[in-house]
Amino acid sequence: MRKLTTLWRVYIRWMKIHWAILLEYRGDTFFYMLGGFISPIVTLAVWMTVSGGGSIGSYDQRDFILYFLSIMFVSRLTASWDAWEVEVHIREGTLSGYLLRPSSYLHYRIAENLVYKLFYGVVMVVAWIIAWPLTDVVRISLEPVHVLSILLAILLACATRYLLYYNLGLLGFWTTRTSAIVGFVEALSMFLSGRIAPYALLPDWVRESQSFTPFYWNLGFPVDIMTGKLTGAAVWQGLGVQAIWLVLFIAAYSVLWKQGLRKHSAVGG
Amino acid sequence: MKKILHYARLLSTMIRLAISEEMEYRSNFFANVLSTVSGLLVSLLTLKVFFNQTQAIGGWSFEQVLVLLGIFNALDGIVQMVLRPNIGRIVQHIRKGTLDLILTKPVDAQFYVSFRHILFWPITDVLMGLGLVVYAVLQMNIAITAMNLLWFLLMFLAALVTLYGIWMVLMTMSFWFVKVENLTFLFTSLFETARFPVQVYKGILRALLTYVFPVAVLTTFPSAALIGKLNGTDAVISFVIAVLMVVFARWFWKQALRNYTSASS
Repeated sequence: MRKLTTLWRVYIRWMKIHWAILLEYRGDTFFYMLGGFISPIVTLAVWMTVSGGGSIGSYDQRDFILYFLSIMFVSRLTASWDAWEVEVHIREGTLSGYLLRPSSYLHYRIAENLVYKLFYGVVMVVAWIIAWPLTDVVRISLEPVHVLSILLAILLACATRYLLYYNLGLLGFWTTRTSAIVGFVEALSMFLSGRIAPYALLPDWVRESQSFTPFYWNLGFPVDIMTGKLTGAAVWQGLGVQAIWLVLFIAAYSVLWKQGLRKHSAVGG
Repeated sequence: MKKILHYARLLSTMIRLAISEEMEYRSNFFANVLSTVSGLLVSLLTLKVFFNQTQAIGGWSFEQVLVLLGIFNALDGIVQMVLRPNIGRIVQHIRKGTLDLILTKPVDAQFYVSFRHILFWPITDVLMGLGLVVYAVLQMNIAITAMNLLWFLLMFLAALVTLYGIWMVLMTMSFWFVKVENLTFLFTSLFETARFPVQVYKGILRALLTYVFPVAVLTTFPSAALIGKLNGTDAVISFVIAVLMVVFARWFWKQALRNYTSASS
């Protein structure tokens, strides 16, 4: 219990600091958010042109709009930029400074991530509420169970995707080619997470691979719940799969961190 | 004339420097080829997904979009070779006050900060992009006339000039924004819109992408020129935007310098 309250206090402190940084660089934060929205808008535009007013599979124009709005929403809330940050801290040796602190480096990083997500989350929810009376495309079902499953799925996706990138950053203990690896994973995830198209419209081999990679569960799955394309037992099963991926990534983190620190000899710093 | 020759010589020296610097890191070449190939594969798969549902996107067939994708890749390679390596450095110069040093050099400061650091290996992106263009043209089985080729070269030149102008404006903005990574992120995201012909976008979005952030000039018009789809208005738009863009970038840079107070002293 004592430990938990300490941890809570640590997080509050870190988050206050990160909040101050966010406010200082508010212009950049805004640009960053805006930039993230462009690629879904492009893909949506292409789909609108392709479908040409009709529908493709089970998706008509409104479905496409809601799908890509949800993609923007979920991908912003699950975004992780830690692979780059962690890698730089390791490579340049500044990690050492964090290792000396009484609380883990992981908490420091998570606190930063949470502050930005809170900011994005509030901005996007407000935008969504403003759009609510204007167009019925955004009116998703507000049944408590539905909302709860959305929140759970986003939370699990957020944690898993966060750890995925964090772990990739930790590879910096062993290699200086982390950015190439991250680039490769990003390219894969572009295709396998559902950013290009709803899973229902992707080729068969992609659909067959969905259980074997974490990408669908980090983005496509929460979106499919939001848009109401997944219902009933499939939702709860999916949440289970997400939980399994999360546990796997936590395990990978603890191994990588322990082995990595053993290998780590500070560079400069 | 003498001045142009002088700057051309400077540029070739910078490129030679870049090459000899990068021959030290030969394994980067393979890393680059790998990332280019995987990037191209993903774009091809993506196009396949769209073309599974339709014969043409915005009036462009699969092969025609491939030409555009090749040009996109070539431009992206140029961004990585010339533009990206320099933007990070200018922020450092501003933050640390070392820009003063550049301002006192007997060379145009804008020229210097634009071209001093060139990466050589992304040339693979340029070559593979152009290779894709050739492949797609062969697939289409159409005869490319000398006229088409000439127009393509002109439009491609306009695209390069425009790209430089946009990038220079972004770079100059770093006088006010310190975390420039986000500016480049914004550019990369906006540049993504150039993967598709501008006809894909409707209404105000198309106008924005033609005149304000002119991705149409970057990829749509050059590829249209090569496959003989270009009309006169598009060509005029290309030239006007290219000229306006560099003139504006030059003006903006001068403005920024006027407001610049050194950080060091």
